[in-house]
Amino acid sequence: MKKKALGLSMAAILAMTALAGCSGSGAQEENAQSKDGNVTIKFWQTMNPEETKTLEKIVKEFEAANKNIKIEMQPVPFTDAQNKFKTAAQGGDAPDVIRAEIAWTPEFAALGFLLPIDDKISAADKADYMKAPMNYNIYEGKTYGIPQVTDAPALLYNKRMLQEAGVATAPKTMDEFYDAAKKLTQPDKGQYGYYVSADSYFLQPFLWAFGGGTVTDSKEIQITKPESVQGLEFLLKLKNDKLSQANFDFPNQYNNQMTDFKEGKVGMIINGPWATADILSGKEFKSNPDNFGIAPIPAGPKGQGSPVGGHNLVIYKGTKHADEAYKFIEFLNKKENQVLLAKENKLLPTRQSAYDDAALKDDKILQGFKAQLDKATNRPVIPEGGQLFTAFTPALEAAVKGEKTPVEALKSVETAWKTLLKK
Amino acid sequence: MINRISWTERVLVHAVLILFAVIAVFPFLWLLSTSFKPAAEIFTSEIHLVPETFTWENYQYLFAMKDNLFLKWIWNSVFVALLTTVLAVFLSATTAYALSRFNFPGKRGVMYSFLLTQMFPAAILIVPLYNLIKNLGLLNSYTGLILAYMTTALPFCVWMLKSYFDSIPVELEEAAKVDGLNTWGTFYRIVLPLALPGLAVTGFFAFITAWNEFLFALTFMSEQSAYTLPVGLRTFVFQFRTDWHYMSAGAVLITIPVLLFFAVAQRWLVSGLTAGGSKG
Amino acid sequence: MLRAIRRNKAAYLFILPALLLMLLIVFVPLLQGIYYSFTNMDQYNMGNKFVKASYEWIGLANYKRVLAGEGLAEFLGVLKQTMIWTFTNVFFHFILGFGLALLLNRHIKGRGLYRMLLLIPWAVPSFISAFAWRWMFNGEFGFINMVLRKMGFEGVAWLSDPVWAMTAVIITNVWLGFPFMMVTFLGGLQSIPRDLYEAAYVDGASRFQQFLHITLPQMKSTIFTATLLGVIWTFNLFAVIYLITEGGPYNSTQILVTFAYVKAFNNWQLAEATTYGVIILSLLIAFSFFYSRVLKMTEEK
Repeated sequence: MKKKALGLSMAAILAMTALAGCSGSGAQEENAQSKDGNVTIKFWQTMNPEETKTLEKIVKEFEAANKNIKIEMQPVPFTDAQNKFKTAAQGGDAPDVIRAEIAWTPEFAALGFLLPIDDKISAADKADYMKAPMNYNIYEGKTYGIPQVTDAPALLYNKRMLQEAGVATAPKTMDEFYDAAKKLTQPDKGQYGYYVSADSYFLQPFLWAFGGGTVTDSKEIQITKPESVQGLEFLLKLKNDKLSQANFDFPNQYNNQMTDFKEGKVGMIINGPWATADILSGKEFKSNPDNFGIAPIPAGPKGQGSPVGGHNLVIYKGTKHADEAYKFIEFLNKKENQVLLAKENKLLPTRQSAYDDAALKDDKILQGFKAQLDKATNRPVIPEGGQLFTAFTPALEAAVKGEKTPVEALKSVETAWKTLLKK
Repeated sequence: MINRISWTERVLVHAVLILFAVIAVFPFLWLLSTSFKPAAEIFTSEIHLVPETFTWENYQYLFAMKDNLFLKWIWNSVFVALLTTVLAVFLSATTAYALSRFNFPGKRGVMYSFLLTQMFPAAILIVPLYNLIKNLGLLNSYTGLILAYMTTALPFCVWMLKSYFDSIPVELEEAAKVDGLNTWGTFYRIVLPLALPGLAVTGFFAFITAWNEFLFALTFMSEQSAYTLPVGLRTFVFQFRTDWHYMSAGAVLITIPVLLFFAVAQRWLVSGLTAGGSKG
Repeated sequence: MLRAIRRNKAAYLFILPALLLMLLIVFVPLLQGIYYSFTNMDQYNMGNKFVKASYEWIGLANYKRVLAGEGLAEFLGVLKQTMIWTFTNVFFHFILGFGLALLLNRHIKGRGLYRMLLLIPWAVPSFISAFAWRWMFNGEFGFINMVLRKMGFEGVAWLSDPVWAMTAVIITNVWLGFPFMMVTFLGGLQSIPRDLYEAAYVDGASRFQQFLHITLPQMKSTIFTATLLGVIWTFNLFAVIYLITEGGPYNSTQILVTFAYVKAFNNWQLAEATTYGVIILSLLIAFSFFYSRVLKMTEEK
């Protein structure tokens, strides 16, 4: 009698275990090396659909040239890729190749998840890669990847607005920048000078301009240096003197900044090359792309800089096909392929030689950002690099809202970083 | 109800329901409108609830994705959610019945241990959980996901069904026992039909839990073709931009099966007691 | 003991499958989690395929730091926000859910349609609706401020002012959560035997009296379960806050679980995250103990 109840329960459990056999539609093959000597390389990538299309072209070419290697490409949501890779790798189950954001690379390397490629990378390649993007691949003296694309925020401006406000050329110094913002601010026309972002990533140029900084490669904290305080004070002055947007909405600030810029409400913003396609679709630039100006972020009294970002191609340490994996990323990063990604998707190459290519020589946007890259700064190459902003941004928000003085705000950042960096 | 309802009262009831229905639907209407807008029309300083340029492109894009990905995501989600529902309802019904009708040592302990599992935020244990699922050989399998969703659904379903069972008069079962039905028989023939509204609610809960879950699905499924809908839609969020036009189209499509499921399930939401009562 | 088991064999057999499953998938990681809170585990020392584990038992040090040391002020602040968040949410979930369930329990035209429409907030995946709300709360271009401005008010800095930001995330979550309560209570109301009302009607009881003496007592167990679980879930709900404000501006919408979550996912500071997890667990155990006691007391009265 009761056996029936038990029987049914058992049947339910059995049904569940039976399902273990019927796995998701993408059943995994444990043995990547099949009998005929063919090799499958798993590749997690985080590019957007248009970029992925270009990437697919390149991958097809690679597969055609290397008949024994099959590339299994998995798009992974960018925001989750870092944790997903870490989770998979600590369980010993990660893909062979991953496209890692620059801040993730030293972290993955420190965790022991990446394969050093010093013996694989050619001297010619090493010399051709730009220094700053390449730096992010080197951790404790070993090379763990190659830079695929790079970026650096630059000063983006609306040429028409600057001209009408009587600003002849893009500002080159922070003083000129302040003046330009002041001239651009015309409340009766509903326009203002500069969008003050409380995202700490975009505070970095101001810190560097005044001689301050965040953290050095040797984990020295510079955020409370008087020069850093000066940088923050400069940014806040733009807000206090009402040369910035009137509404502050931190979670939506990125989109609001873009909307204001696209519609000609703000004359200058700081943003990276990733934003250009979106900007050019806006009212101010759609029919007149030449109205869009790019210049290096102005120099301050003690320096000039912009944070270098980008993505690297790295190989998982547990891969069974290290040589094929490297062959693949080497191919992805050929000069021609970097040029292709730059031409099709406005992604900045990491090879010096790519910028001299005929196809890119006259591209104003790419060359504009290249000029910024020449005056850009490495972010600290430390495993905690990506986590610095977690405590930094709330403090900056408090300073922007006047809840904390600049010194108080930066002190709180220092405290949080000391814990983070175990100092 | 047997009580008379006056005309003014009826108007008032409709007014309140309409107000809340509008509030409930509004954000969804916005998603619906966004799903018919071209990308360039989405972030502008002026807000238009009705698209200026109407387009089907966003939906076409989803269905034209490589390898029929979007259809695969729908299938994965439907399969996982339905199976979770069936298993969760079945397991929680037996468990809740025992907890409601029997007095045995450890009963309170069992009840509260179900709750305990909800009190510790599982999200922070995603790494140990991943290792567990991996060691069970259930990565990239529906089973792993279903098991994980069951652990979220069961505590609610068990507790909820227990309180529904509690409200069913024991006398009915005693009469059945006199008629010669055993424990399983009374449960299956007498109690379950009476508890249909409760079963519908728990089933619905289990379905939505599985349908909307994100973190487990993201972590346990590494193949794009094995993603569920929420994880799949998340692939439209990029480092510096979100493809709202595709995501809202996906969000609209993702909602329809839930409403269908509810349309079916809500037939049982109507009193089981009267239904059961009229039969016997 | 054995006899007790034999005597209640049916009961145990009914429970066993569910219990086994929970044991396997939840209790094991839960115990692991509690253990981690007494160690200094983070991503660098937790060990993996290539690096040996090197974390150590450090006793109560994590708890001391949070509850007694430098972390206390921060902890209390976040705890207060957690309380506000949890109880305001559950209060409105309950009021709206119960009220709407009562209305929908009547024979009115279009009941099925209302039920479907009111259910929509639950049917959209929460990460998408959270994004949609963030968009509506946009201080510059949001729909809500646009309406306010049209009505002659000033726009509100919804997401960059501590009080308004908390209001915004609570509004979002009330919207997300009331359908669940509504459906639960609807199921409960439908299970109340009709003859009870018929008898009361014959006895001449008013509708309010019927509600007080039939509906409420009959619904008690359902209400208890739904609100208890509501408190537990809302306490532990990180998605809404995480997706709308990320705990900002300057941590003013941070609750205990988002705090734990950030720690778990940044650098995988598992020791600290699980310490918060155990604290959350203890608080919720204390709450459910207290809550069921209160219920018992009202029953005895």
